[in-house]
Amino acid sequence: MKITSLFNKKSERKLVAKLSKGSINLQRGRYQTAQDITEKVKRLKHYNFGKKYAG
Amino acid sequence: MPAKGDELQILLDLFEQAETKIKNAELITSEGVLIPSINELRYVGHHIVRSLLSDDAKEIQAERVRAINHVKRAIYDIDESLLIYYIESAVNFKEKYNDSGFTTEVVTDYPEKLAMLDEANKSIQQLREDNNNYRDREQFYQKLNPYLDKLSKIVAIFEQSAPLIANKQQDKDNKQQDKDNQDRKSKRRFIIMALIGIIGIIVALK
Repeated sequence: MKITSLFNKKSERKLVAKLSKGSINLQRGRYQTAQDITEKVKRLKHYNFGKKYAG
Repeated sequence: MPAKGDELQILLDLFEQAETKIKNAELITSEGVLIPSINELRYVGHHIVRSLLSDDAKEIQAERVRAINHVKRAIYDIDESLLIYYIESAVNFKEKYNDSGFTTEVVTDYPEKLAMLDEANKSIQQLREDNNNYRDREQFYQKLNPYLDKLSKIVAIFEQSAPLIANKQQDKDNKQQDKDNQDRKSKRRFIIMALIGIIGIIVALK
């Protein structure tokens, strides 16, 4: 069974076909790694929403 | 302890929940698929195959429990990533509009909404601070769920409010600009009249 047959949409099948041939790389922003999430969590660590707002 | 059939039903329910969440998060954030969640679902498949190949009833059950735990981690990870997305969106809103006097006028209960955002952020931070808890985050797979609904509503309100605040700010700036122009014109008129007066006096004295 071809791997592309697991995907329904034409665009998905195209993408998988390209990826399996190694003809394109996933671009930044198209997926998120564990490290991406960890960095975001770190950036928010000291963020204080309660600090000063115009009343 | 659940019966064998129950475990598979639990697994299926959780798996479908995880899949829906992964798809939703991908659509909402436009930041692409979350690899850690997909990996957790891959591990599920591995444990299920191992359970199918085993003849030992205890081992079969242990593999199913491991599979269930991986789905729960997938759910935690996807909920966490979506919450972070909402929190980051709220940070952007706050940084842009916090100093506008119109924010509290347009956004009802703005301080309460900020407090809720702080609470959700702290909840994520606390779990990550404890390595053991984070590794075993399957036990907290339902913990972030209550925040998701609240934060999605808050962020939706912020998104709707942003153009209103910007318009009010623009109106205020335009009025200030008109007033400044008016003041400048009055000053210029005064100076011209004063100059004419002085020249008139000089001419009269000659």
